[in-house]
Amino acid sequence: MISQARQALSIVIASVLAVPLLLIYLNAEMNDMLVSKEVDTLLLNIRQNDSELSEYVLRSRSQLDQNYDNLANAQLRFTDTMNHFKASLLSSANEMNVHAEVVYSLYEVRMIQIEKFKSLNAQIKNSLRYLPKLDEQLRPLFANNNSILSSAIERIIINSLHIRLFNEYQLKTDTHKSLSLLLQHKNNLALNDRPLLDAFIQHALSFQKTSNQEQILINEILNNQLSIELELLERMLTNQHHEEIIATNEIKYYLIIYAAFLLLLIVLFTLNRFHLINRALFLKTLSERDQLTNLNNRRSFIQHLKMSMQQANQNEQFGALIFIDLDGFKSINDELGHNAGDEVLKIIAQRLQKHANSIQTLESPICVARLGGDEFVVLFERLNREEVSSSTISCAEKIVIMCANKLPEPYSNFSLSASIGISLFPEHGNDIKTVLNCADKAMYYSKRKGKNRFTLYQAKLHNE
Amino acid sequence: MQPSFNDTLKISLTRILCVLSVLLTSVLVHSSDSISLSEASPVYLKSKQSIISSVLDTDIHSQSLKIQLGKLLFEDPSLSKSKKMSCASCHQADKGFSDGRDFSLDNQGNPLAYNTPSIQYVAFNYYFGWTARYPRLQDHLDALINNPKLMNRDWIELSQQIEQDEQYNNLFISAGYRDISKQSISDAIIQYEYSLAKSSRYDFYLLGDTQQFTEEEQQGYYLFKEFGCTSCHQGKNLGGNLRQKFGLMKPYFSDSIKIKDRDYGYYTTTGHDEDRFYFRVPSLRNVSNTAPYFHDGSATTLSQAIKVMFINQLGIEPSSTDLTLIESFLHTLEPSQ
Repeated sequence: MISQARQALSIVIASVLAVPLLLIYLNAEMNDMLVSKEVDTLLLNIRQNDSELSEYVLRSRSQLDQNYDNLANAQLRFTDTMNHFKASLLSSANEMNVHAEVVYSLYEVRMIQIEKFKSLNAQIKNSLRYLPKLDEQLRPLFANNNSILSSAIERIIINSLHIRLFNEYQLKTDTHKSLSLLLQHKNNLALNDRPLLDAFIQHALSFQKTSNQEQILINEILNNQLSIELELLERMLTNQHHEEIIATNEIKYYLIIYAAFLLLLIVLFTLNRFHLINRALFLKTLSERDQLTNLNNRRSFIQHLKMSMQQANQNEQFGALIFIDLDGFKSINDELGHNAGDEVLKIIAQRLQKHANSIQTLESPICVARLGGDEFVVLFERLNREEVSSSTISCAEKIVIMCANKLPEPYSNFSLSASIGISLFPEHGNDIKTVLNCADKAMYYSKRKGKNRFTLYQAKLHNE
Repeated sequence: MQPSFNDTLKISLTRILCVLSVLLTSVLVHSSDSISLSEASPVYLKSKQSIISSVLDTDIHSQSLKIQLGKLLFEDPSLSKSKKMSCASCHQADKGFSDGRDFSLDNQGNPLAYNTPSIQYVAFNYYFGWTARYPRLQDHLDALINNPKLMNRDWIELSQQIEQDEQYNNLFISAGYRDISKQSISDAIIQYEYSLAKSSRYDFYLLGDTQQFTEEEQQGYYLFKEFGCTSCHQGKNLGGNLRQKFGLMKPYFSDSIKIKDRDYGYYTTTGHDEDRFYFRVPSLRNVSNTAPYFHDGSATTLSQAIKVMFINQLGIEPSSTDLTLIESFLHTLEPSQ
């Protein structure tokens, strides 16, 4: 019930803390900043159209496109976007104006280049189509003589086709040679056939000229300044946007929101951690303590004993075990009830703990534990060789006296005493079982001897 | 501009409402059964479909109304200042939307600088005018309307005049225009001009119907490609998407004829030397119906024009059979009825 209520409360607190953050978030008009500006979209479009143009030019040149419809449409789109661009950027008076003007002039240059390309490309296609046709007409004229001329013509045609693919210097010089050969041997032909050869030479020459021009133009089109200029413009715009965002107050809203959320998280985290640590400690004590007397319980005692015996074995240290059994406790329990017995046990435990606190030092800690019922144990975890027996025995003496002391008021009629057995380790044994057993033996010996006393274990006890 | 407090409050409230409604719907969706959802979806789809179809219907309807309106405007002489000239007086429908003269007459009765080109397939052209000065049909229309020798009108004055006509008012509204302005008037006219393009036998032939061509026409088409006419007269419109020099292989404008201003082609617009004698390659669609030919109407018959093209553009001396075959092919480009 309580934990549920606490949970509900924490949820309420968290939501109360979150509400102002939510309100701030809703008020912040940052979304408007994110809406991309018209100019940015335009620039993006221009860049896209620009690359589209290059693509279609290359497609036309490599004959992937047999006509210029795609190229012309791309040009049209480009013109439209540039007109938009001109209207929106050139009209606004700011520092970008200069760049925008440069972009526009470069656009005009580019359009002129592309127009020129189309016209040149059409001429080249025409020549390439017509040269073989002329060759066909010329071939029968050379049938009997002039194999030089026919081979020269063939070479020119083949070279022309090659030049379209590989712009090699050698091909050009070869074509030149063949052409001059044709001019030299022109007079060998009959007079009526000369115009045909003239036409061939004219077409071959014009092809050479136009393909050279086209090559230069293609390079110009592909390495145009426009994209560089556009990139510059875009960078400028981005910088400007950054400045705009920083200049607005809205960024502050966001910083506040983030900082507050972070703070909230940190606080919650620390609280949670604190809570967990407390809980873990609580559970630890719960597992180690005897609930009634708040002394160590049996499990924790065994743990301590194990540790100290290990240390004793390793470091040549010594320890002692005082086993206490209360005499006359059963009568209190029987006559006054379990509650009274519990109270008495508490009193005895208090006395034992108090004494242990008074004599223990940092070097030799003492562990007091209740094993169950009216059995108690005092464990000296570390002792020097010299003081082993002396301090143990003095402690045991003191305990006997303490236990025999008169009990407070409601129990003063009852007499209580302690029978104590002492065992030392590693003197009397190297494992828990033996050491405990020895102490037990010694305790029983005390009981038999008439109670209210202590006995140090000796080997001879074993036999009795 | 700083938004007022009220605005911000409104925006915040709507946002909260939005968030809440999203949450609510998500809760409802989770809580409702899957059966009810599957039952609901067909109804939803059905309604959506009906909406789409109705939108398309009205669109097509208003489109055809726009074309009708455009035709009316195209043929209306009251669009010109003199009230005697309409677009249709030079672009006559029975003459392939050209007028058959070397040069059309302006409103004073004097010949114009250029031959009137056919506008039937203007929809597929990339740029307009003999020298391709105008990248948009709108620009060309502006130039014609404002030209003092032709319509001689101011757009504002013109739209005011049309606004006073009740019949036009109704037509504009039913065609889906919000107002009568430069935009809406020119849009209607341009829609009409776009609607003029009709497919020809050539198109059916290209689509695979080889029966459309006679033997002669097929040979003509073969020669048309073989001689390299298709280097320039290519694409959807058989031309109209590039400029080319007139007199590529042999100068057309010989010294004996006095070279006029118009013969310099695109040079008259740009002043660049490299643009001298450059003209837009005209579309060959419906070419057999639009004599005379060339920017100055210097070729009166089609075979004459083909011969000039052969000699000056291709550098080829054509045989008479070549000419007749190609001419017969060009006849297939007439719009089929």
